[in-house]
Amino acid sequence: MDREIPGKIRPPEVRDDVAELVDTQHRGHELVSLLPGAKQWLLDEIEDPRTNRIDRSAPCQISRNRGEDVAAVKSLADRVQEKAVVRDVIGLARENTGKHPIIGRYKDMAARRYGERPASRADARIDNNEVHGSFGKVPVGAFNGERRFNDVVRADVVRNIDQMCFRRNAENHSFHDSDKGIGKAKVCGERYNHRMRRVYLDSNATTPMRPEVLAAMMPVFTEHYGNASSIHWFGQLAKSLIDDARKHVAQLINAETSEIVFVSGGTEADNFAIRGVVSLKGGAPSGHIITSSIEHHAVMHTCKDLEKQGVSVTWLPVSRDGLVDPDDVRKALRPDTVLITIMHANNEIGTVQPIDEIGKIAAEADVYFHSDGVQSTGKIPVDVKKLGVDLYSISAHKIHGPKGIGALFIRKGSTLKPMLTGGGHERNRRSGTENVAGIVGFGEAARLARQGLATEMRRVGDLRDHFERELKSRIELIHVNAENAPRLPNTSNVMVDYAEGEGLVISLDLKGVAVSTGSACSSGSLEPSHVLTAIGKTPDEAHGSLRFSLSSMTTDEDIDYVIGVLPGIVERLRELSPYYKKV
Amino acid sequence: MAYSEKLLDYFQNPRCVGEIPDAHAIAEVSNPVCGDVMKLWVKVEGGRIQDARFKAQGCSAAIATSSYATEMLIGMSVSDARKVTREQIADALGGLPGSKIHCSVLASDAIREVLKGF
Repeated sequence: MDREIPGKIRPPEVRDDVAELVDTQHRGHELVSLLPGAKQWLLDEIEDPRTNRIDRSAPCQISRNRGEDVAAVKSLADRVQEKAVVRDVIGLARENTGKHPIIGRYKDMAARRYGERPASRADARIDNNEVHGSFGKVPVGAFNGERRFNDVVRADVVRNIDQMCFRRNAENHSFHDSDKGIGKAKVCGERYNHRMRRVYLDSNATTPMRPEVLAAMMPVFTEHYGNASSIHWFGQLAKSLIDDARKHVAQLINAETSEIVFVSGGTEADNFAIRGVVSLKGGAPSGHIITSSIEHHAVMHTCKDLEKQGVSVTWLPVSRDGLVDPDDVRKALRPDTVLITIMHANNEIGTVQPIDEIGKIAAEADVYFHSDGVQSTGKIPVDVKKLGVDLYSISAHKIHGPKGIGALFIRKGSTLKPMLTGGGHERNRRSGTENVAGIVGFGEAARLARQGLATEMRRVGDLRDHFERELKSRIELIHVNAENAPRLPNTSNVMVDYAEGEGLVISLDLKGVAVSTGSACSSGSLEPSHVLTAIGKTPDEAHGSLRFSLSSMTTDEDIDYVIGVLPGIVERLRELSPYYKKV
Repeated sequence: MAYSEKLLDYFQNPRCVGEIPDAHAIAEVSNPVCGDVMKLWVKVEGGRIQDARFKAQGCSAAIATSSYATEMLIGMSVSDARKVTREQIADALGGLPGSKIHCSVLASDAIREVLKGF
């Protein structure tokens, strides 16, 4: 690539370099004394006759001071910031000077080792094609495909224009670590508007972590980092933190602490429960499983996999309200039945199954009973003793805890074949060094969920009911799925005739509202939701489905905002439909 | 991969929406994969497409590609229009995510269908 640096505008790459240097404010010592690669990079940069943008004396200064004088590094960074970087951002934003080919030095940046912050967060929804934001064309070609950097510039440029205060923003924001910049650069088009109201109604997918949860986790990363298996102070402290968290998780579902096994999440809990039971006899998986046709994929695909391996599976139908009939469970029992697995609450339509009744049937038949409680826990009262389950899956990130941690309740006296063998953690049931931070966060989230369960979920339920009433009064031809069944208080699944779910989701997203759909067009598999199909909806009906899932963090204003924007969106899409005739 | 801004623009502000009462040909196609539907009206004079309008019920990619394809048709000769491929339509809109490529089939199918008689 040509290296053509205009006189006035310096290459923005400097900025990222400087961000790195600013980073060294906090790690001057490491940079100089621990990272020979970093030092080499600095020297390379200085000796590059084509750039000449960093004071030759600077690295010498760093070297001389052997990293003790952090101020030296800081002043170096500050100086470059003033000279080049702020001007860059403004130059790009104001003058839009077109192509300025810039050679990204990232490939050579050995120095990033310690400060490495990959652009993973941005990758989810940003693409290079989308950079033509509200400010005409940012010269994309200039950035040599280094996404991490593109995103930072894009975010800041748009932000600056938005807020009409170029200089201050340039200074304040341009030096954030690259990943912070990426966080701001949402997605394309209107989504660049950072002041847009954002309403998150996808809590059945995941929930934001509560600040208290993060606060509880932080010391585990920094100070209480021991391995809970170690007998020294660090290890024992970690162990006591885990014990404490286990107590809170157990209390949330009225289990004994010894009955809680921490795993990586709901999917692992489901796999562990189901595979653990069918593998008990040793040898190839065998026996018969009874499950429903509306299970979460973690259960459904596990059962399908076992089916291929020789286990026989009965897929029970559900009513039009999405409920399993306990009598069907009884009738499906066979002498070789080893497991009944029926979810407690459905993730898409929110129906709550009569788990206690099925529990009695399982107990009479002396068959293991597993229930996926990922959606129900924290939203409705759960008492594993009353439910009569032997195995119960829960997940932290659905109750404002961290991702990557969950638990399987294993009733005392039940045995499962461990899926992970190793150091014998979790009483030999799940080996692997405990995710202490995750467990602590899970514990705190469970404590808070239990505390607010009664009051918060009543409020959320009222809010959901209000939402559905308003939608039905403002939008014609809209139906609430499983409206009259026992349902989670936070879930509302509606079907909109003459509009397609994915189009509705994208339209809502452009208005700042995050929801999901069971439409075939939004799923990778290109099949409509198996849950909606199971409750008797045709693919056409499922085509227009929308799931709104609230949480204890959802406000009245959030709901009012959605009630305000949805009718217009539906109207617009219907006007495009060849079938819709306004009545 | 997410949608391009151009695609979102065509989805948000679709061009050439509507019906042509005295159309020379009308085609209605549906996507066998996901059930999206597109209806296309054209007026053809002297081997050239004078006007085209569409309506569609489907996802954002289906609506955007339908709109783009309809707009593209206007002024095109019938023989050129027949050569339009779904890749051309998708590429013009900045490409489509892997699982959404099938959505652009709708528009190219509709073009071929509506021009059958010419």
